[in-house]
Amino acid sequence: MKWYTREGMNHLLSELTGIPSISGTKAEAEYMQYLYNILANLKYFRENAENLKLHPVKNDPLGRTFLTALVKGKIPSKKTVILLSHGDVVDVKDYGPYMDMAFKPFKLTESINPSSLPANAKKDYEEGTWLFGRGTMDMKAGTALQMGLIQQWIDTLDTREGNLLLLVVPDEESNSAGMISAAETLTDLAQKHDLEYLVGIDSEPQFPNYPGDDNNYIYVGSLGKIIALIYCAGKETHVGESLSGLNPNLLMSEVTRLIEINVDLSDEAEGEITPPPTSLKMKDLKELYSAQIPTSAAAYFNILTVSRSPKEIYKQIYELCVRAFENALERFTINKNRYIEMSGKEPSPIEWKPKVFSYKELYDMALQAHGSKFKNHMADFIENITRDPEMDERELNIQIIREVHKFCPDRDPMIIISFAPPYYPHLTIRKDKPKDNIVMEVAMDVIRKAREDFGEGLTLQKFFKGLSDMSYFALHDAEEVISYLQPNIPSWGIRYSIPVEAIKKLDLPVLNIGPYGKDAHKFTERLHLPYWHNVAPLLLKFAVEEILRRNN
Amino acid sequence: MIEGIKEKMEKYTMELVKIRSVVGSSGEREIAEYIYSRLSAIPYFRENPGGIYYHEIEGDPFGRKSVIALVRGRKGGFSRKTVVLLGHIDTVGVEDYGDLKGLSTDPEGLIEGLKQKELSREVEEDIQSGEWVFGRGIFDMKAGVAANMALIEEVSRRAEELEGNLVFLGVPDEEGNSSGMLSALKALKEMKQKLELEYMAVIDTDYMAPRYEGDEEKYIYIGTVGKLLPCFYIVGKETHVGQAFEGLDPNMLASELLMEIDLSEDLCDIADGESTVPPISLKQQDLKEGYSVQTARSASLYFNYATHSQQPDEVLEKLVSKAEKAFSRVIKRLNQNYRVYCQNSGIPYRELPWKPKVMTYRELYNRVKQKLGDRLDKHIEDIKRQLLKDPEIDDRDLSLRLVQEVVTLNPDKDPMIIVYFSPPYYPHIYVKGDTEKEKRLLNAVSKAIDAVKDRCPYRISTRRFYPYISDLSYCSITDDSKAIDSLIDNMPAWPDKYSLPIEDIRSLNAPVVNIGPFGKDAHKLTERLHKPYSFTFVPELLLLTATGILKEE
Repeated sequence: MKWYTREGMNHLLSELTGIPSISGTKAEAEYMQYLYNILANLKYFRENAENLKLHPVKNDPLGRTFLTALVKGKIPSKKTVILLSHGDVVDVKDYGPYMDMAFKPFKLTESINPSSLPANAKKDYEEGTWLFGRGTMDMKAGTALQMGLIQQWIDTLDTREGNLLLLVVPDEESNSAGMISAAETLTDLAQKHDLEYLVGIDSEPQFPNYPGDDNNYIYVGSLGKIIALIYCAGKETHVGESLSGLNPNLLMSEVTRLIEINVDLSDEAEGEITPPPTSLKMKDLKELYSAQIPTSAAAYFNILTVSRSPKEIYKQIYELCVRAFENALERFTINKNRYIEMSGKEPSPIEWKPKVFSYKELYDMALQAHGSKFKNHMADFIENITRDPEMDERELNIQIIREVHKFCPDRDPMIIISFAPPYYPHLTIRKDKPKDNIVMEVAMDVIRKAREDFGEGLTLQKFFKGLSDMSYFALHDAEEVISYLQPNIPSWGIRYSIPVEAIKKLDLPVLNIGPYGKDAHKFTERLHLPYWHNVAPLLLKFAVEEILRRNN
Repeated sequence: MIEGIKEKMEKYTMELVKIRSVVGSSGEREIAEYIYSRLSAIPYFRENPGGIYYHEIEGDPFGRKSVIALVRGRKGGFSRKTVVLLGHIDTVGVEDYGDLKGLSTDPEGLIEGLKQKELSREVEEDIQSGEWVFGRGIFDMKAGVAANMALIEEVSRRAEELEGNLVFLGVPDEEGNSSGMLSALKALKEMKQKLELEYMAVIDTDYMAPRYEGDEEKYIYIGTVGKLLPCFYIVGKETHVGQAFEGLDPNMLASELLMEIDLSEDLCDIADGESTVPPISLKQQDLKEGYSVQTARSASLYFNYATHSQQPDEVLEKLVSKAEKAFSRVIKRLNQNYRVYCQNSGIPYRELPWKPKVMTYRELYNRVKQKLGDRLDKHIEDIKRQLLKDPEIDDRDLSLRLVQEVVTLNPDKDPMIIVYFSPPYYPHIYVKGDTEKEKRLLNAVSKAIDAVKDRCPYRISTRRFYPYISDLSYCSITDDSKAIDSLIDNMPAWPDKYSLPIEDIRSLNAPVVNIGPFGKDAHKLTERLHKPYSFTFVPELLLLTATGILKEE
């Protein structure tokens, strides 16, 4: 069966979505194995077995793999286009009564009761051209497109000058461990097979920017993301003396109030404005109930970027944390003085000043005070705590900060700013790079072709709005990543790290040409079938051919 | 006799502090066994072995128990009049000591360790003076328990000189759920009936601290503060990080609510010119599990809320209105930011759909019940039974789960804040001097102070409300059933997981006083006891007050 025919596409998508490859589960490995098996059946890979490979994801407790499949044109060339997609999907709890059918899109689409759908989804459903189900748009239809192109390439290999490298990775919806691991493999493969990469083409779904947005997009970049993890150490006290301690929850509430949804933290570049930060977690670290106030609290915020570097973000967050600290102290002082007035006690000055440090500063203070004793303790601590392979990466970072803080000689209340995985560098077309310029020209041609051949209006976007693994094809702020990000991610080098050197070496432009869909991560996730069948495959093929041609 | 009490108190203090008895650990059992072995060795209890016994907390996972010891005075024949000497034998945790955790219950080692730390000038001066002893639990409240032990021991040696009776009561779990005191009430009730006792007063020897920095005055508290644990369950609306304005983050509501309530002076409860400390947050967390790029769906937080006169129904009303204010402010701030974001991104601005919605647990329950009828009661009973299968489930967690369950069944999915109570509840006790017993207590305290004041270098005065939450609250309870109903109706854990033995409390129903050792920084790593006052004047005040209450006029 040909994966580039309509029946072949449907069949393949049905098979791919049938494997419940939820991010962070062993089914991701099963999914890769399935892809491997069907590719290995192709005559080309039977004859060139060394070009098809499953690679283990580095340090992965779940034993997941990523897949590479290299197809070389008959006319010798180093020029190679990377086709990237991810094999994992988000979980299906949101499907409620339809959970059983979430992985059977064709059946689900037949069985949905339209009255259970929100208005927009219902309207699309009634058009009859949409396929509902988990992984349909995000992004197994994209993998299917790329597989179709690979097969088509193989079927026309004699006339082909240039190579395609299919890369399918796990864990994109979680920490991007797959792509991060693959970056190094890509540089190895380039050496082994004598390849020169031209572009990383992803086939993530194209989706509306806001409710009611009818545009269809082509992307030449991807948003960046950084997680600011804030740790507040308070001053413990008994509830009966609530005014003689400082509650970390009070500090954290001020921090949240200043950071979350604050439009001053929206980033702007190339006419793109990112949504402001959102809080993804807030909690104090008290475990059991007692009459003692919590000693510390942690929260982390999702911050999207299109231009700001970790250093600039640190600076902004630092200023807000200082202000939050001042606000908390001011509120504390006002309430304390009023209480004192009422109870006839003697007022006393507030003994604390706003103290805000980076994780690195905290670490250095502890190291200076305790030297190798501290270092050894931390090594033991980390060995112990990482024995739990399922411990969330953010939680690991919180626990490390908490442990380091125990050794900080300064016991005053303080706010610690750190960063937590995953970090996604933003990237887009750069004007001074020849490869980037070619991708930009081709993107414009794709837009023209879409309009002329299919009557489809595509709009160019400098950044893909969902986060994607495209981020790891280049690192625009490499030096700052090393000097700023790395020392302030507590778990860097333990389970998480970014292969900075490999990514610097790749240094590729990116392009996203995918299917059209809506409602990623919702139970109304759906794929527009006509565009996927009739338009997307031709645009993808055109883009690949054009990029290869213009680089020759 | 007094010299013997002083000497023994100091000795027992140092022994007790070394036994680490953190609340919710087997250390609480160990310390009870230590006290029992000390007291049962004294001649009185060797002769009267029935006078000392354990009272175990039923079904307690740590096997914790109280120690009860009764000394019957023989002066003027056996009397019914009895004074209870109360003390808790547990301490808070030791995590706050950081790398000095290992030394937290070793006063000699700890002081050396502390000298290496950067400390406030006040602490450094106190260390220098040599008048202070440091350690977890040293004055909260091992010195107090030691005073009670010493008093019982010395009085028992001269039982023929004692009018009336003294009961030593050492209870665990005071820093947790007061299960020690609550179960011991039954023992007091049985003892009262069996031996025909009349409880005249309860004297607690829990810690006393400066009321402000540099405060040299010493206080005896007649009566006690009360405590409620108001909780909030916040239902927001999830969204993806890329669509920040399509949701309503419960953490944002929680933050605003916290700032509205935490330390707010307008929530202080003032009675008789004495003010409670303002409420303070004890827990705040969103309920999202694991990591994802979705914001949380719900969050929960709860506060410690002190009372002198406010009843649960008044408190609920105040907090509902605070929550409404916080909710409105969040909506306003969201809209302000959204407007700017829309302007900058060229998206048409439309006001966000959120409306403040706040209700009590009872209101929520009634609404859902209107829709579901008896099915709701049955469902909640089932869930409760399931949750109770875990004997260690925290009272707050169980309460939260029940609230969540009712919210899940609520067809109204709008963001909302639910206000309810979790255990524990500590009633306040206001000793006005209206009853015979109250007058006797006030009188005895004032005579005791008069007797020592010329020798004492510190001014000693009385106040109305012991300002820290303690087991004293369970020595007496109000007759106002409306207040109690409002609590029970909004406390999901009542009665299956938590309840107060209201009848047992009423059987005790005695006025209370706290005569505490003096110290600083309870629950902090610099927790310390002032030796000169604590080991000299506390035993004397204690002896004089106890015997003063018991003395026939």
